[in-house]
This record gives sequence, C-alpha cells and structure tokens, in this order.
Amino acid sequence: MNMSRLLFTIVLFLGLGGALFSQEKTLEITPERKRAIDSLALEKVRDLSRYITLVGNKSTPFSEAQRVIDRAVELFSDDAQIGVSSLNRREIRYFTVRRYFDHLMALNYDQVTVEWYNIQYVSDLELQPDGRYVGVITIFQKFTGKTNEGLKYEDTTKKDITIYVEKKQTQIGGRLVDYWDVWLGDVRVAHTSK
Amino acid sequence: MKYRMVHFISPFFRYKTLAVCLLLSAAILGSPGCSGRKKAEKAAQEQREQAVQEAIEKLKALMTNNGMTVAEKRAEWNRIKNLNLNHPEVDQWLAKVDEYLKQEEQRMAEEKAEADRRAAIQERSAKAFQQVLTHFERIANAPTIEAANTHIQEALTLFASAQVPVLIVISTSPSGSKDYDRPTTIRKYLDYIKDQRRYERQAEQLKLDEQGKIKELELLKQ
Repeated sequence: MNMSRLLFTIVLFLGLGGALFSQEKTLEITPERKRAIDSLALEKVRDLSRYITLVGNKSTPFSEAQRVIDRAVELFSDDAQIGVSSLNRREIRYFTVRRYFDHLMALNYDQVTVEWYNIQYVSDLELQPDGRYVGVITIFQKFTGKTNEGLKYEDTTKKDITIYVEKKQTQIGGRLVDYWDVWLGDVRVAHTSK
Repeated sequence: MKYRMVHFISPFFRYKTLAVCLLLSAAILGSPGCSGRKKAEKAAQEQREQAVQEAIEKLKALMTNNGMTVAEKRAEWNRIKNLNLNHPEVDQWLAKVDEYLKQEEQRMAEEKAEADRRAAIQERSAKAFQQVLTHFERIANAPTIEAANTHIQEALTLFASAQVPVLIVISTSPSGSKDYDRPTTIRKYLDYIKDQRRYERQAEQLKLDEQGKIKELELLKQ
C-alpha cells in the first residue's frame, strides 16, 4: 500500500513537472517575436498619446471625444488608474481611465495641448509565473493650457506605464486565431517639473 | 542417221543433265537456304519478343513517377500504341496505362481549374484591396473630421458589414505561423485610421463573399 502511494506520488510529481516544463517552453518566445511584441506595446502607448491629444483638444466635437475615450479605455485593464500631477499642488491624484479623460475634457482652459515624447522601455517585458509578460514604458508629457484671457499653465511630467502582454485565442470566421493581447496598467507619475 | 541418233539421244541427255544439275543445286544450295530462313525467322521472333518486353517495361514506367510530365507520358503511350505490336500482354498494359493517364489528366485538369479559380480570386482580392487602400489614404489625410467620416461611410460599402473582422499580423515565424495583434472590426479600424492618421499598407489576405464584398481582412504591420 505504502509502495503504491509512493509510486503514485512520483508519477504525479513527474507529470506536473512535465506539464509545467512544457507550459514554460510554449511561453518562451524567439527574439524576432519579442521585438514585434515590444514594438506593438510601444505603438499602444503612442495610440494612447494621440487619444489624449484628441480629447484634450477643445475643437474635438463632444461625440468624437466620447468615441475616442471608449477606444482609449479599451487599451487599459479594467482597474487601471492614471496619475495626474500639478506644479500647484504636492499630491498626485489618481483617476480611473474614464474619469481621467472626463477630467481632461472638463479642464478649465480654452486651449489644451498634451504632447508625449521620449517613449521608451525602462523595464523590458519579462515573463511572469502566470504566463503574462510585464514591462514598464516611460514617457515624458508636455502639458500646456491656455485661457483666452492670456493665462497659461505649462508643465512636463515623466510617467511610467505598466505594460501587460498575454497570448490569447479567439475564433474568427470559424477558425482559431492566436493573438498577443497588449494592454496598459497604471500610469504612474514619476516627477513633474516646469 | 547419225544426226537422228543424236537428235534422239540429245533430249534424253539434256533432261538428265538438267536433273543432275537440279539435284546438285539442291544439294549445294538447298540445305543452307532452309537453315538461313529459320535463323532469320528466329531472329525476327526474338526481335519481336524484345520489342514486346521493351514496350511492357516502358508502359509500366509510365505508371511511376519517372520525371515525365503527363503530356509526355501520353505521347509515349501513343508511340507504343502505334507500334501495333498486337500482343495480348502489351494490349493489357496499354489499357491499364490509358486508364491511369486518363485519371492523371483529369486530376491535372481539376488542378488547373482550381489554380485558375484561385488566380481569379487573387485578382479580385488585389483589386478590392487597392480600393480599400484608396479609402484608407483618404481617411488618414482627411482635412476635417466630417470629411473623414464621409470617407469611412464610403469605405464601409466595400465590406459585408461594419463588423467584418480585421486581423493585423505583427510577425511571421520561419515556419509560417503568424502573430496577430488583438483582432478588431473594420468600423473600429477605420476610426483608428481617422484618429491615428496612419494605416497598414499591405494586405496579407482578403476574403470576398459571393456579392464581392469583403468579409475578412488581414493586414501586415510594417
């Protein structure tokens, strides 16, 4: 009885080990594939940058801005937050993605420009035990707000964006398609300067 | 009298001489002539047997992958048939190879028809994608949101519906397996072009429905 229990344990251990090993093997990716995924993640951040510019732009019609916000929300995980800083206050406020965009639309300026630049990885995409790849991309944001009365606010903020990448599967036209799902997590404020 | 004797004996001698001559000729020439004919007949028989065997071997080879095209095989089959060997085994193989070649010719005709069909689809797809690209360009370069929206509506007429899936290939492995971005719909992709003012210029695959409308689009990321 003890012998059979021992055998069962060994078989179970070997089986689980093999399964874990094969899973690890399938999740490993080639350098070419990795480059393509890195590039895709950077593109998602650039897309977000453009959406922020569009929503911030006061000349964008309301209905268009709402549609753009919907697209922007799709880039993020459900619980993601975006940090907002100001030279006029010390604390950093965090909003859910939709609230951040609502806040951006409601800013009390007549002209708003938001520009992102120096978009690059600070932490390479790394495979996590749960099978997802996680990395951090940093961006610099130049915000300018002007009123018709001539008031002007300007700051530059360094922000860190967490990137998640996971291989998923969906059915398109009766066939299974493997795709790399890239989504953004929290956008954290690193520092703000004039 | 002498003359008469001679005249009387002479025919006798003449026939005798003739008979002897014939016998001698038969003895000298008769025997070797018969043997030669037999040899010639034997040689002809052997030659025919060889021709039959060669024909059978060649016919057998026509049913194998011997590097000849089906048309070449058919020409060779015709050549062997025209030899008119009138041999039951050759006739049997001629019939067998004929059946095989008919099947091959039918298979080739089907393959050609399929290739022609694919070429026609490819041509229609390429033409459709050129139209799609024109709309992509107009949307990306539209001077106003209203103009971009008009171009989006025009572009959508090329598609079976606004929900037509759009796949974007981000990389292809040496084995041919593709990596895709998150799938989207044509409506969302056209809005994406309007917002981001950029688009993919290369189609990996474009599927049309029976009405000639695009039902699936696969783009290649630059």
